[in-house]
Amino acid sequence: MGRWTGRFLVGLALTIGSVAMLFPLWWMLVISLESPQRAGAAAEGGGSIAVWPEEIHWSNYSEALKQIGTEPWQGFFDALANSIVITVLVVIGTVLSSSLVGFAFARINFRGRKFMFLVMLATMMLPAQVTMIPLFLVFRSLGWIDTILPLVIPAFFGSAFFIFMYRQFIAQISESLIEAARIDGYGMLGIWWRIILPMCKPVTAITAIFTFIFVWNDFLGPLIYLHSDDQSTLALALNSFRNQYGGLENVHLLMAVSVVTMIPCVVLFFAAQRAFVEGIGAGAVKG
Amino acid sequence: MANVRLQSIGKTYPGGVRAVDNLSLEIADGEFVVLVGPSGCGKSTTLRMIAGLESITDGTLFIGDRQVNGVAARDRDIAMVFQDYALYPHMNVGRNLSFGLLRRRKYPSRLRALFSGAYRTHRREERRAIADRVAQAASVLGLEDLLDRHPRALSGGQRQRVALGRAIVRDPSVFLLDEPLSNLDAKLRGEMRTELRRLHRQLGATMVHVTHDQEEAMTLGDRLVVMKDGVVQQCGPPAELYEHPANRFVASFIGTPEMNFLEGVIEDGSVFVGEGHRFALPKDRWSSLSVGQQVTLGIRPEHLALATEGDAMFTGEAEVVEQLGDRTDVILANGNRRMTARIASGSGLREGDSASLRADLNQAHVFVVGDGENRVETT
Amino acid sequence: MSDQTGNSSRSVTTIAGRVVRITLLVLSLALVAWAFVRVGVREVFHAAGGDDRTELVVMHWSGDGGPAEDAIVDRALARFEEANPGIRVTRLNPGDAGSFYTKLQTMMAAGDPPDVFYVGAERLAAYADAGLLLSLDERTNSNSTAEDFNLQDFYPSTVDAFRFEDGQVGSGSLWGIPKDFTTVGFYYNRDLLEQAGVPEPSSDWTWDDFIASARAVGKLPECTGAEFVSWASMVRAVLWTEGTDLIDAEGNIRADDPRVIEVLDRIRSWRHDEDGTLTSGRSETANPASRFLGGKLGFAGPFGRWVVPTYRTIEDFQWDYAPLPRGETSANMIATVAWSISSRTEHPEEAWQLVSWLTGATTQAEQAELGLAVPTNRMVAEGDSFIDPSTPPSRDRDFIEPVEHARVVPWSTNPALEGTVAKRLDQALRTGDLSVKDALGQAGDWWDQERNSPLASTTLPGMPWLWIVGVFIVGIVIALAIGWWLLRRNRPDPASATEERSGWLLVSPWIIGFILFMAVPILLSLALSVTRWSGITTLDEADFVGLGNYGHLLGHDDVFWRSLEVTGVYALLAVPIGQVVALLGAVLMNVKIRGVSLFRAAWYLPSILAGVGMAVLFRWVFNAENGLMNVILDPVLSPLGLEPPDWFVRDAENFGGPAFAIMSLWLVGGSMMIYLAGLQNVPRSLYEAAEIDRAGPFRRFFSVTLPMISPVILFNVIMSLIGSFQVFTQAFVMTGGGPGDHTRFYVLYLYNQAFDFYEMGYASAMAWLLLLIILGLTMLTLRGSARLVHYEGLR
Repeated sequence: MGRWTGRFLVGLALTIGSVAMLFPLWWMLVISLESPQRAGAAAEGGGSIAVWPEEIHWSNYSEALKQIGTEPWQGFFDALANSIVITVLVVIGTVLSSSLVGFAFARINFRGRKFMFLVMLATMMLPAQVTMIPLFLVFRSLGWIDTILPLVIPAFFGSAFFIFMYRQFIAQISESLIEAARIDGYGMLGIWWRIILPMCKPVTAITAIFTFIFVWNDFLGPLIYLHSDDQSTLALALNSFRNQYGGLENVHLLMAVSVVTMIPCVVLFFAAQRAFVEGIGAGAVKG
Repeated sequence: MANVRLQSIGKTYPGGVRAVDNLSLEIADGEFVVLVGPSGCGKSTTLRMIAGLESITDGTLFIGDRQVNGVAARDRDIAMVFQDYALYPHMNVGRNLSFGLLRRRKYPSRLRALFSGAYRTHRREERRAIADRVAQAASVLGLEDLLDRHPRALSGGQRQRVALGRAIVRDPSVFLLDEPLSNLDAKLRGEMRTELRRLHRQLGATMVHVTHDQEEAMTLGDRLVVMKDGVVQQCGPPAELYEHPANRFVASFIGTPEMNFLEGVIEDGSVFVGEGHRFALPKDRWSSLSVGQQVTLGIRPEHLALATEGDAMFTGEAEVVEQLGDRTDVILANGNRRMTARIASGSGLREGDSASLRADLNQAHVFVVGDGENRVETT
Repeated sequence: MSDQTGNSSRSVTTIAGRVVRITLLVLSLALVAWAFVRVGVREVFHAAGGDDRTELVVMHWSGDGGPAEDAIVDRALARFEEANPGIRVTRLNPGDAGSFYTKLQTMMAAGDPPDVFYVGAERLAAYADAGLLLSLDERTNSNSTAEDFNLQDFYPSTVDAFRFEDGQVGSGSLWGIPKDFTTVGFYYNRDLLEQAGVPEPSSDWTWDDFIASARAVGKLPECTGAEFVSWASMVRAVLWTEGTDLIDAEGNIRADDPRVIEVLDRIRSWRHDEDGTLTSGRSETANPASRFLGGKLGFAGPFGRWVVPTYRTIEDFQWDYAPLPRGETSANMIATVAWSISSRTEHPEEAWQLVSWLTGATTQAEQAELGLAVPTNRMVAEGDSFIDPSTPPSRDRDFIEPVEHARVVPWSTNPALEGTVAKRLDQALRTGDLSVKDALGQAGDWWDQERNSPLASTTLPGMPWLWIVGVFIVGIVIALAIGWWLLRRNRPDPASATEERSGWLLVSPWIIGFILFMAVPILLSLALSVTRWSGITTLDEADFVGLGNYGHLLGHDDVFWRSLEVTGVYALLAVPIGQVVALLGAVLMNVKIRGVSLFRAAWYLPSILAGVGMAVLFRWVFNAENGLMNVILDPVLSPLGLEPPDWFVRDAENFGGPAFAIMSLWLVGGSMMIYLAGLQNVPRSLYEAAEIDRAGPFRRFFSVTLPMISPVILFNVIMSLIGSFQVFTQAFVMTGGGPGDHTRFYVLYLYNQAFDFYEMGYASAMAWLLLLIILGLTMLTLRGSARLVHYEGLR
């Protein structure tokens, strides 16, 4: 098998996979641009699976966004701003805290480390539903209800999943880099900030994207903790939109809102892709 | 610059492994000391204890006049060069060099510089000073053109130089070098050795160098410390170690090709008998030998020569003949017994030929069997 | 970075790329700044804007009414504030009824419910029984605060729906004032009926009339006679028209009543034995009411008034409404929602003023314009604002008149009864995978067991909270002491002590977070798992049941075992297949070919959408008749004489779980990205070495790639294993667990118990069992993989 054939086969396999992966999304886009009648028919499937919209109705988007919340457009702007604020804070908090704790678990010797690490792994197995009500009680006793604090503050205390991920990555960084920095006069915090964080760019990119997407799409959290109308997030708005406009006759609007909700995630993904690929650790040792 | 004093230093790892035992050593100011030994001998641990990267279980360590047992690595005023160089991959060479200096700034805050003119001036001066030192270190090592590159864009030799530069730029009282040359190819290694010597002379700094390569150790060190299993075997200038190895281990570790050893017993009249040989040792050299003593006789290959019939000590077939230009290394085999000899070139000896060797027994070493095979001192 | 050997066109694209990137960066930074400013300004404004008026919190939903209902409530509240200057009203609207109840429940459990809120008649029994509502008896008798409020004007049967006493709905104390109501019946397509030559139904039509008309319409090309929903309450209303009921006066399920079986069998046979009379129950693309919009259905129902706003958008055909047909007798059900007051309100007087305002004639008249429901005030209902023949349906009176013989459907105070009956009826009547007799038998057996369970005892001791908190505190103190002693026992040397200190310092964020947001809630939920607690009352009303919850789960709960099986099968399929696909994708994408970044993006994009939208889409994909999956499978399977499965309906027992496993393949992007990152860290030299050893691509993969990324594989496998046991959102949105329990994933059942059946204690026990299961599986995986995983650089 020649080199060229190999590449061709790889490309072919990836193309087929990509088409399968993207079709539902493409379909979503198509339906969001169709007329209400054709969108309803396409959603019912069958012969009318559309690959291209018959006629593009951009107005679906403005119509859909206008209907979020009580006041035209304001509901959308409020939800957008809230989503951005919450998501940005959570991403920053998660990256900082998880990398710090992951660093400690990977590279600092202290008694109790193994035990705590095991406890942390165990917390990942706990279904979120278990702690929902007790957590609500905790936040209420802290007086945090109807603020964004219950959604944002826990992120600054690390997330087990990402701590684990950082720990696995940092464990692969050469010990001598850290020793060199120690000799260069940096404490553990300085080493984390100046050596570990910059070297963890790929895992930070992954963490940022995963967190962003999760928080951006999460609606149960905001639903429980945010009461006031103007505190609604975009995901919450999408969910109530689904319930209010769930019928076939409104499929085009539902899909339009879904597409708008997706856009920031898609943009972020493309922007961070380079960091994924750089694999900056490659030049660290020996090379 | 400072001297380093290790007093009965020991290291026991949490698992109970004794890595270094009762090590005492005094390194003079400006001296180049090489810790050498096979892997696992505790040399790296010793170095890391000096650096402060490894805690000291017992004994005391002084750098200068200061006892530094509990002092953090960053406060010991040392610099270390690592085997894998440990260059920060996300910083360019210039940043790598200045990284250790930035930490020691007196005027680090950018925020305060916004509001205080005097602070800003100091800060600017300080930054200029750092830049000067980086430039100076770069010029010493010829790194001027590489300052903007990242480590991954450098060759092995260049990285090595940057790693040295990072140590130099900090102007520490002690340099610690942990097998810095072992990742280089032979030619580069040779060049870097010369460079290290030159640097040492130029800087006049105290340097502690760790290597498992005895040749590197011999060429670099003012003084060598040979270690085995966490214990110092011998300590002294290269020539002394070569000429007066304290025991059989040092004797075999120092010098290439390795010393030849014969096991035997002393008979009356300082006659050595063993492995089918029987010859008289110069009586006046080892007056302390007693009859019936079990000994090992050590003869360096360069003290063997091709023999004419009468004075042959060993006869065998030339198994390997290595032409080194000015001299030739020969391994003669006789049954299971092998002797390595370094002889003058031009003998015409070829592999498969039969040859005899004679020894310059005045240059031989005698080690008493048992009790660590210590060398018997000549009178 | 830039490639200097590249030609000019390349550098143009590089510059263009940089320009795009910088623009995007600036734009997104601007957007973030805008968001922070907007939110910040609002918060400051909020903080400054307090006043000394009495605050009332009002919560409602706007499901079928949409933004119009939201606006009406908003307007009514504004007018109320105007009329009562001393009261400020804060309005909450979580959206639909489901979100509303979840939120209401958490607020109630926290002891902080809104003052005034919606209560559907079906939840009244549970809420009133738990003492969550304020009795309105005295207030309705003493004074009428709003001028236009008079309970005498209300339809008595709608008011009776909110009377509850001694476990019985329909009489006794009053707990809410109904804001509006509806009876049910069938909507019909006038054009199709005319085409089929059948008369429009009269207000007194019979089931025979109904089925005859439906059959006639079913004969028309591409048309179906009727959409006949088999929701539990609707089925009971149908049984009432035949003079019987599913549940007798003592609350027993009439599983063996021949009359009940006969009526239900008739509906079953209309659907499953005849072609085109009823919809097949298979094509579950949207909600059943929506199907009428397509113009190919003769009848749709039994629905209440709530579909009218949607049906008014119909332009292609004429339609109207007829009440529920008559059988042996005339009967109908009432669906209604009331405004109730929380028993915990601090301002009962003001709250009552608000409730009477919101149910007063003026507000009702305003709501009547929307047409969503019938006003409960007789005067308003029969006035011009509701009865308006110019907008369809023209037969508005047919919603009002059946009220004479209509009543609310009484369910038990145990909400699980309705849920379980609904589940079994769905299997018998819609999907048809159970016979009527079996379905009723199963429901009956379950109900008997449920009522005789020790957990259902009314004399359970209260939870000894003081004692438990004491034990916890003592335990924590002892644990801390032991930990302290262990740490002190062999003091480290000073250098290690410094390292140790910084280690503890660096993990301290996690420790604090763990204690606050994990340990405390976890211990609380452990405590809850030995209680019977509804989750809508406060904690001090929890009853202590010991290990009763666990015993019932393991010993008596068939749904629990079924959910475990569904989840296990899913995990068994989804984890290996998903990981293989993810790894394969990552390996292929690690090859240097053109456009590889596009492929990466393509594979990851579906994961971004892994929420509500994705689930909606995939319901279409797995639709049996027209769905994408079967359109693709059909040409492959039909030559083999096979038929593609009816994923979520008829074949759900065997294909429901696997369908979710297939769907999970669209979400492998996350795992794949982690693999890709791992692959990038494998030193190239190893591949070169292998290539020199003449290892082919497969050998290279198995002897270099696999061992080098084995820690990453382990990480991903464990993560996806854990994830697969926590599947929730997809099943919740797509199937709701049905049909029957064929897609009832573990966490979904847990959610049902906690938030639908109000068994928070039971759900906590389930959560703890789940924790043990996952922990066990993870340990097994770690143990089993110890030799296969290769670590480097880890000390």
